[in-house]
Amino acid sequence: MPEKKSNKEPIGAVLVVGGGIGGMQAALDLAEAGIKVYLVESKSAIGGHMAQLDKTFPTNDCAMCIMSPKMVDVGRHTNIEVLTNTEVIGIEGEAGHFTAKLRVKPRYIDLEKCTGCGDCASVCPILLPSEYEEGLTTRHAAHRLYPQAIPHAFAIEKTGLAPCRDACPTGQRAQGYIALIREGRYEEALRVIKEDNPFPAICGRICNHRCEDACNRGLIDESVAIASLKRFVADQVYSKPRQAVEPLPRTRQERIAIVGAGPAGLTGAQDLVKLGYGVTVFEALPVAGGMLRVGVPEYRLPAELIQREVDDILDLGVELKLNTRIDNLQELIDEGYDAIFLAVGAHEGKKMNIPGADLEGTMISIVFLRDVRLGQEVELGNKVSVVGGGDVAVDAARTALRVGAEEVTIVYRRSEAEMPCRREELEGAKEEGIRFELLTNPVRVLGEEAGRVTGIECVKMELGEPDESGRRRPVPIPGTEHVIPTDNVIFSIGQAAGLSFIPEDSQVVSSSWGTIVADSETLACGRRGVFAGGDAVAGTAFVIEAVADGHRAAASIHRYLSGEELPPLKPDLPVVKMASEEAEARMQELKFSRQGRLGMPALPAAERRLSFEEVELGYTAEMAQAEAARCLQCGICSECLACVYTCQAGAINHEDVEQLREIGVGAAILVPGFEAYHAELSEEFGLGRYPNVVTSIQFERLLSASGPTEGHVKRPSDGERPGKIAFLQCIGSRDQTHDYCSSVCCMYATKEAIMACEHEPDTQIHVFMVDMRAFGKGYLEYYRQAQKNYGIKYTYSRISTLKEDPVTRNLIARYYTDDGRLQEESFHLVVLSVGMEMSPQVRELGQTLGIELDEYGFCHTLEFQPLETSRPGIFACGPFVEPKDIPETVVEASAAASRAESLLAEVRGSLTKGKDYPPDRDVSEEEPRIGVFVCHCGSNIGGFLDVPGVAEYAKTLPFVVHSEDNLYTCSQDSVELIKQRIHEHDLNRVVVASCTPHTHEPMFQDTIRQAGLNEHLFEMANIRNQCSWVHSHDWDRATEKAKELVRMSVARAALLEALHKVDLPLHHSALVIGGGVAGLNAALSLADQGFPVHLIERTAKLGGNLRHVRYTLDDADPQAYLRDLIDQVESHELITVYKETELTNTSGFVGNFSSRLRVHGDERAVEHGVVIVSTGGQEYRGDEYFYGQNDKILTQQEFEIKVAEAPDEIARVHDVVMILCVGPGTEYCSRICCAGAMKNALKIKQLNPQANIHILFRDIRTYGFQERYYRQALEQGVIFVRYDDSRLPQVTANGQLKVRFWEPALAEEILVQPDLLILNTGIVAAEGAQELASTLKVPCGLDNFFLEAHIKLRPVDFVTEGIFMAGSAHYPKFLEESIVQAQAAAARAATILSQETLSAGGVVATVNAEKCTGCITCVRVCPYHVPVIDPSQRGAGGILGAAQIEMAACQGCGICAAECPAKAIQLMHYTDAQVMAEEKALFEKVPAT
Amino acid sequence: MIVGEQKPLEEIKELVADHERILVLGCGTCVTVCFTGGEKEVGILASSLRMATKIDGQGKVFDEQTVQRQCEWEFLDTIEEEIKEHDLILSMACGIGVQAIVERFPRARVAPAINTTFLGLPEEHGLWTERCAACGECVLHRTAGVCPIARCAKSLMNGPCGGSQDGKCEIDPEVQCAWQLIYDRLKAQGRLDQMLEIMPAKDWSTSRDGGPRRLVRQDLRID
Amino acid sequence: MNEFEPQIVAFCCHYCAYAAADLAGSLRLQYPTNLKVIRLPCTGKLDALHVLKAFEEGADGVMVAG
Repeated sequence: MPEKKSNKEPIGAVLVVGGGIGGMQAALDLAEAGIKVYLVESKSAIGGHMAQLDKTFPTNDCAMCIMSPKMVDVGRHTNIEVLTNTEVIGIEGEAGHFTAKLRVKPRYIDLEKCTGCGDCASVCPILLPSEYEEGLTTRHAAHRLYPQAIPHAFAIEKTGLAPCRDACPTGQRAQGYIALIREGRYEEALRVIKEDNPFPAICGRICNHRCEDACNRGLIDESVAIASLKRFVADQVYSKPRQAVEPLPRTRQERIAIVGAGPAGLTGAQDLVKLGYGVTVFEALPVAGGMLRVGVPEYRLPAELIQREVDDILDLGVELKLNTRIDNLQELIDEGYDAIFLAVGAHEGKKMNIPGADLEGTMISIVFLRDVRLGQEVELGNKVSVVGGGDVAVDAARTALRVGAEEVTIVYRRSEAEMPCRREELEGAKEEGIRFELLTNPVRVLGEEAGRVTGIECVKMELGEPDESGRRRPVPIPGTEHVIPTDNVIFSIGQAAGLSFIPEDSQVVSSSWGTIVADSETLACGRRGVFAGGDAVAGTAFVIEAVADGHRAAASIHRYLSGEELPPLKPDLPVVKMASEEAEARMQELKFSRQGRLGMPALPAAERRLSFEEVELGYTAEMAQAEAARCLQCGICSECLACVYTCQAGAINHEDVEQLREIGVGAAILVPGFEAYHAELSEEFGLGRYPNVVTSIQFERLLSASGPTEGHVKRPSDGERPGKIAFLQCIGSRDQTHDYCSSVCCMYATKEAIMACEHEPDTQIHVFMVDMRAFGKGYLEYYRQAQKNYGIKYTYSRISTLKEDPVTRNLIARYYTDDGRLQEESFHLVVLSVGMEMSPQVRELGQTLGIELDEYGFCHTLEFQPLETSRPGIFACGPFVEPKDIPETVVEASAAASRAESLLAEVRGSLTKGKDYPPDRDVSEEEPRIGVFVCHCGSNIGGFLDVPGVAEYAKTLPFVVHSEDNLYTCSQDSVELIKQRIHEHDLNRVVVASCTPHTHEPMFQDTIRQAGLNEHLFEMANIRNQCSWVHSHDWDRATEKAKELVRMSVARAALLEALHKVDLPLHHSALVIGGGVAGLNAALSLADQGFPVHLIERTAKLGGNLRHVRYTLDDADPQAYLRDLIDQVESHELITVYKETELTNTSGFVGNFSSRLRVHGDERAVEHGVVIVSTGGQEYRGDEYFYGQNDKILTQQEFEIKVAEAPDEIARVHDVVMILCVGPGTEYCSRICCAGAMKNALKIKQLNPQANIHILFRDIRTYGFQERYYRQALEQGVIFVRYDDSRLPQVTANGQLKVRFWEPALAEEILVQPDLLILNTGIVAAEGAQELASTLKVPCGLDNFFLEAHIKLRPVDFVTEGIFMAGSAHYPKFLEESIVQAQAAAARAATILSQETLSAGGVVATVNAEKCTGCITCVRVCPYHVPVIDPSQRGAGGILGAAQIEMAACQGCGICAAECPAKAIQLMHYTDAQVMAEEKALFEKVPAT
Repeated sequence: MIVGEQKPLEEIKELVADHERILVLGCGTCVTVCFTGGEKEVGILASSLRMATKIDGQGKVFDEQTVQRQCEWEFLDTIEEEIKEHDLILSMACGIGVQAIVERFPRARVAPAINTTFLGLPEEHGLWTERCAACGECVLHRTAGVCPIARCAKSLMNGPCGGSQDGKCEIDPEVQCAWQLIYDRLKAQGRLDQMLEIMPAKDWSTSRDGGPRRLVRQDLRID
Repeated sequence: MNEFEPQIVAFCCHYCAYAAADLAGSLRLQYPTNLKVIRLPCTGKLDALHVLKAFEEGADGVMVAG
């Protein structure tokens, strides 16, 4: 129907949602017909489910081999924009004018820069179950879905920030180094730690590790020991002697002063030096490291480690001035530093403001610690009390033990739970015998007269309301005063910065807390150019915060000096916070079990009290790897940056963020595909529990040569070959939760069974099924072959449960045999034939777009408009509409394209574009001048053979005038370089030695065309896929072979010739043969798209078989539809209808056919560009079961007419028998008769609910949603009885009609005396199909149905270009299927008719007439019937009659050239000379270099 | 057309055994069409011989050439130099070609690489059957266009012999009985009565029995 | 030292066998370097002469895959 036209011009673009085979077909048809296409795919590559298949039935073609060329075409089509990782989040507007809103998820790898080399994946430490391999093997987080994926670029799977990273102030990529530790890659682990933190060894020891608190693993057992792992890495790497770090070049004029050489100051210094600034660090103490060096005791943090990490920073070129106290900030400003970073720390401690606090023997903890650390004499008594509960307090206590105190007590005013110190410190202290006086607060220090401390008077506390820190505020309990005797009191109640060096007038302000006031984002102080961070700003904080401040200050200073004021916006990345169920699910996925963290060995408490030896001893390598393996990989990608360091193309961008995009389109086609039923849900079959139960898709992968077992079927439990395999059908189809048939499982199971036997011929296979739904072309024959040639056994039985033998892990199934016995059988492997479902994402899509879906998520479409959704301008096809196989999906995709084209016909070509190239330079008279470019492909080639050597060698080859090696020859800069070299060296041939021409030849051809060379002057040597990758263990030989391959390519290149395409005119009209529903729809679709149509019909009436269809299962009116359709066709100004007309002759070729018609006996000629054959089929009428001898015996069609014309008569009918599969049904399945039987049985029941109906069948083939009518018939009491060839029903037709048949369930013969016997006789091809086939020179199959070019992927095309088929002429079809195929034929035809001219030539066969003897060999051998002997051409000896090959029709296969006995035919670009030059070059001795 | 068949390679190897420089010479007419001696077959034979003799440790040269028709001296003249440069011409033409070379170039040594088999037609791609015996006196107008001389094993002139079984010849069930074919065609055309006419004994003098034949067309002679 | 190493020429159809050889690379399946592939648009294009020529030039084996 013509859509309502709006005033505005529609948009000449279409959104295709789903990149499977259907989406690709729709995209290609549209793009070829002048419509711009946006192909949206939610995964990182197109290909869909078909990419996972091993073979396809019934031809056993390799699925990837047939699909891959289509994928490549989509990938490189100028007018198809492939949007991967993309979801549609809304479509607004109306047909012709939609705005589609898209969410493009980050890929983290730049599609433009990625060369697909795979180096990133090879270093990625993250392993995940491979979805492409259905979890049978693993893949990396940096991955390509499968080797042939389009786009070829890799992608990184990242779900967001891991919580460990999120929790860390410096954003340490903890998951990253953990993953690397698990793999034993310690240097790399340290490298990634140092990206964010210059102090791995330090933080590995003393960090408060918020990462561990955030760790999702904690939800299951215990968090991963992240800090200990960090320490382990540092220790591992530092166990080797330190290599001095190379100083960095100074690239910036500006000088920066940093005050304080603690963690904040040094981190800032490092960052600024890396940015090229001159940096001077001023430090008051004699050592660098700040509080780390003087505040943390040696037993926790050895000085040697601090020095190493400090030196690593200093060596970068930081100037450090020790013992240099800045007394006045102004002096520093006056010295002309361009920026100043104040990181002075908090080295001024304080005492409690209580009486006696200044008595002799009282101390401040940090002074005490510093003195001990710097080796100063410290005198302590036997008893020491430490007041405070932080790390410093504990450090002071434990240090006090080590310098000689015998009894050390920590006095803290709250309870243990509130102590801010690290738990492990606390535990360590307890182990060492430190006493704790908790909920105790000093009120006075007691002293002897001489002023020495003798004790502390304390009061007990209790916890009251929470204070601002969230901790409960301690409140003194009156009357609990008591004295703790002590010789020393060490106060550890907080520190402050010493800020006396900041003058009042400096605009640098301090807070009442004694800290510097700085902007919380930028750390800028009031005075421009002065920044402050670390403890000096925060008060006392943790090292990691100081480090974070250092980074932040450096970044702010850099922005400040670069004139950027604002802090940059940080992308808001989602944090992967898991619920415990999700964490459990992840454990399942990674196959982990519960296991707590590994403890770290420590010095025995007795030993450690006496020494400053490090207490914690660190993990061993085994322990570290085991602990690292506990990581749940929350973010998937660990951000370890290994890919970033490896990728030489600079394609990785971990900062990539989600983009929202809006595009204008005139129509949308939804082809999102199916999701396989999650058979784990059918727990009775044990998928996931029993290793030897696999799904059919997993089995598909086990069969595939590219699969996890390289095509050797092995059972998962033990890798043994399964000698006995069972297939269980209808898993997730035709059951309580699915009232439909998934349509494909019977056949794919048969295919998988056949392939398993092909792999291992003695495999025994048993298929358990409900019915065998072999309803397609060639399916029944395939099923029979499976039984006959492969011994595959089929049993009609539904298995209800499987048991596993725990010893052998075999599976035991119980079933009823065909003769009703209960049998038990054991199998090595069981395959579950899973059905199709709609994924939650697809349901969501439907909801988002506001289109109607059914309860299963399948799309509702309109009556007689099978692809129209409830929203005009949005079309649906493929399994989204109903479960279906590849060919039906491909047909629907083309048909949907046709519907969209009808809508957008007037704006065809408005948004598409061709490419402009400079004119080809004529090089035919020149000597060859060859340029050779040898690719390293990162390390993919260069890592396995001597690339520069190959490039050097190429220079010695004949005609080579230039040769070089490139890191990536396909990268944008190299491509530009090739163009430049062509001009510089006047090259006229180019050879690239790199990967495979499959992916890269078109791109390089495009390159040389841009440089003015004909694309056929290009040649590729495949030194990666066919050399470096397959000979990766033999450098010398791989290099040798690469040289040979280059030599061959150069030899061939020297003989290459420019080939030019020519533009031929064409007729933009179509001839449609047959005026049934297919022909009518095809004609109308083309006419609606603006192409004139000649529609010829043999009879006097249009409508074909549809004229006999009086009602449908859905109560629609087919006759009203037909009348409307005929009206539209007959009134369409572009359609000429010829009734009572036959085609007598057709000649010519695609675009230029001329035909003769006999119209009522008169001859007429028409010229047309394409042909659509839609001659239909007809109901078979034979004499089986006495048909024709008794008027109570009818065919289904006759019965239907009777129902329509005499319903009262049918209402009186009491007993009816239907026999299915009569006549041709024994040879092939007519596809539509089972549903016809259901329709008529339900009709009888409607007219007379009391009628007894017996349906005698072989298999009920109500595929897809027709299954629902089968169900209805069963529910309404129709009796179904299976028969087979061994017991055919017996009919007596003379006298009383009698039917006898065997009822297997009762095991007895039944006699029925029906009022009517209805025969389902099936459909045969229309009369005259064979004659038409010979007129058009197209093939018919055995049953006279026309033969398509390829059963799966070219289901409406003939092999001959420009001729298409639709409807039952191809195979028996339902009304909707015929309509769809007609529209598909129109879309395919439109790809030709929409061209302004036909482009012909290139790689085609050409005849040298002078040598042609007219022997007709070429005519006989061409599979496309292209060559003819042209009687007007002169051949060898000037004799009339030489072969002529129409270049527009030639497919370039070269068979004629290979067969021509006179060598008069050559296939251009593969001439004998060119092929033989390669052979000769291969065996030439390598010239000395 | 003239149908030929390549000699076994072993036999050809013997033919070239005493020669060093050999020209494998194809013909662009009948033997090209019957896939026996066209340019492609020349390439295959020459290549095979190069390898075969190499395996035998001989360093022979096999050059390749195809002329439009070996049975015309004028075409042979175009390769006179090449013929002289080689010590053996291995002809892939019919017997006429071989002799034409010999007559034109008396010093040339020529050997046939093919056996000229018969005058026939390709029934299918790859299947040739004999149709004409070149007997010199055509009777096809009387035999419904089926030649009893070439197609009957006994060249019978008046109906089949007793060996005709189910339309097949007794010598080979693959061979159709020519007289059955004649009968069928005449019957189909309603001319069966023609079979009753006795054909007189054939005069074989126009055939090989009369010795080598020659044909003179005074009207065409130029001198 | 004197072990015979056959040199093998493989004529492969661009669409299937050549792609399969590429896939073998993607899967890193290792095989000896003695095999070299010559790409044809279709193995139907393979002329008997090409096979003979390969042997004549020095091939020890010819593989045709398509």
